[in-house]
Amino acid sequence: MIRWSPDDRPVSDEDLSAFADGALPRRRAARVAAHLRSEPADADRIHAYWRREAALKKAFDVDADEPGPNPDAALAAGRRRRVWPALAAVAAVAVLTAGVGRLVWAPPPPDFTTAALEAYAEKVVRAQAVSDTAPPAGGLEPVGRRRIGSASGGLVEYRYRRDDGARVALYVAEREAPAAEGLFRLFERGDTRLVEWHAHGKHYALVGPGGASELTRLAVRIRRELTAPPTIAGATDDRDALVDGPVIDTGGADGGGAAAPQGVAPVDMPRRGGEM
Amino acid sequence: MSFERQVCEQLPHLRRYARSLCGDPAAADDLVQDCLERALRKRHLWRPKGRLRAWLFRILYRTYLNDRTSARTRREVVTPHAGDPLIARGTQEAHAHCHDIMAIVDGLPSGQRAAVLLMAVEGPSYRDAARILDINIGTLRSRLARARETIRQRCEADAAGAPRYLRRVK
Repeated sequence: MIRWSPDDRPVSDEDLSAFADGALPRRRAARVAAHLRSEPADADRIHAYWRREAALKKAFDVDADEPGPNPDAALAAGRRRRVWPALAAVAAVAVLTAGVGRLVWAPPPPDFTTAALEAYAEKVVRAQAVSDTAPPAGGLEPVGRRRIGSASGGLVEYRYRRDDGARVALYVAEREAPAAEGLFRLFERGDTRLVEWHAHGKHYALVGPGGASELTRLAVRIRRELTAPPTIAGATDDRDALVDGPVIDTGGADGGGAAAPQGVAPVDMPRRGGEM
Repeated sequence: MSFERQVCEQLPHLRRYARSLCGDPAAADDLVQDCLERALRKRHLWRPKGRLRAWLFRILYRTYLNDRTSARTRREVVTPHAGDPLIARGTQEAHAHCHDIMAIVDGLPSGQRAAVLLMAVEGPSYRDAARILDINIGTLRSRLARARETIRQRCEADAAGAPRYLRRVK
């Protein structure tokens, strides 16, 4: 009876396959390599594996710049909202940020983005009340509104607080913006994230702390609410719900103020909670 | 680097494997969507020192297996040109000498197909591949060997008189 040591046993199909993957231990790989030198037909088999799998890989290649489905189109079709196209925007920004630093500006227009980030960073000493004029923001509670002047025109800031107490602000530029509709752009400064988009001749930027995906999901929801008639007040959507948490008062003073953006139907916005 | 950004960096890889599993790009995107949602819900289960790609692929494959029996996977394909013949690209034709490799792969047993596609499009280590597919390494080796031999033999049989097109995959 022949007793093979583990490294001397005959070369099997599994060995050839594992050799093709470079997954054999060194001594066994040396044994298979010696076998291939004496059995060119088996060497051809391995080359065939490589060629065909290279063809397979090529057939399924995904272009990194290939756009994903349009979230609005998906919503319009009544399909489930996609998370990953928004995340893909984050990925695109991640590429842009490589080697540049934490703060990245992607044109155009930097003035609006800069103004929004700087306004968000300001300590607000006086804000106007927003009982019924703030755009709906995924059910977040509006807590303040103010007009912000800038060299290139005015912004209106609507501040909200999330259920976890975090401050989120929506900025609306009352002028045409050159950005293409249907495209979200993500910026970051330190722990602050900004998602901007352009819709119906207005430029919007949503600024808040924390994860980019959460803010982007909220931006998708806000854009949907800004472009569609409000549905039943109080309706909830667990898929979009923000994390429950303690509420802190970020407060706002009384006063008149800017009207809600054109096309925005003010609605009562209930507090809401749910699982993320 | 945030968890979300790390996940984003894996999107092209996830989409590629999803496309290879599903064939239809729309179904693949749905699969990636489900995978990401699960990953974000289960992020507390991910160990920062672990391999995020392998973890995501494991979720993707489990989701794929779960979805295979659901109605979603049986829906009608509405992608334009889906199923149309597509003339093989020159490089594939020149090197593969097998003009219907997609059909051959599709005809493999599902376990062999998932294994060979995973190795073809991503080439993870056997350890990672076994974890993604939830099998042991011995089973993985066996499935890969059988799948590759089946593909090779059918391609060789096909080479003489095969139709000269590939199935459109995107």
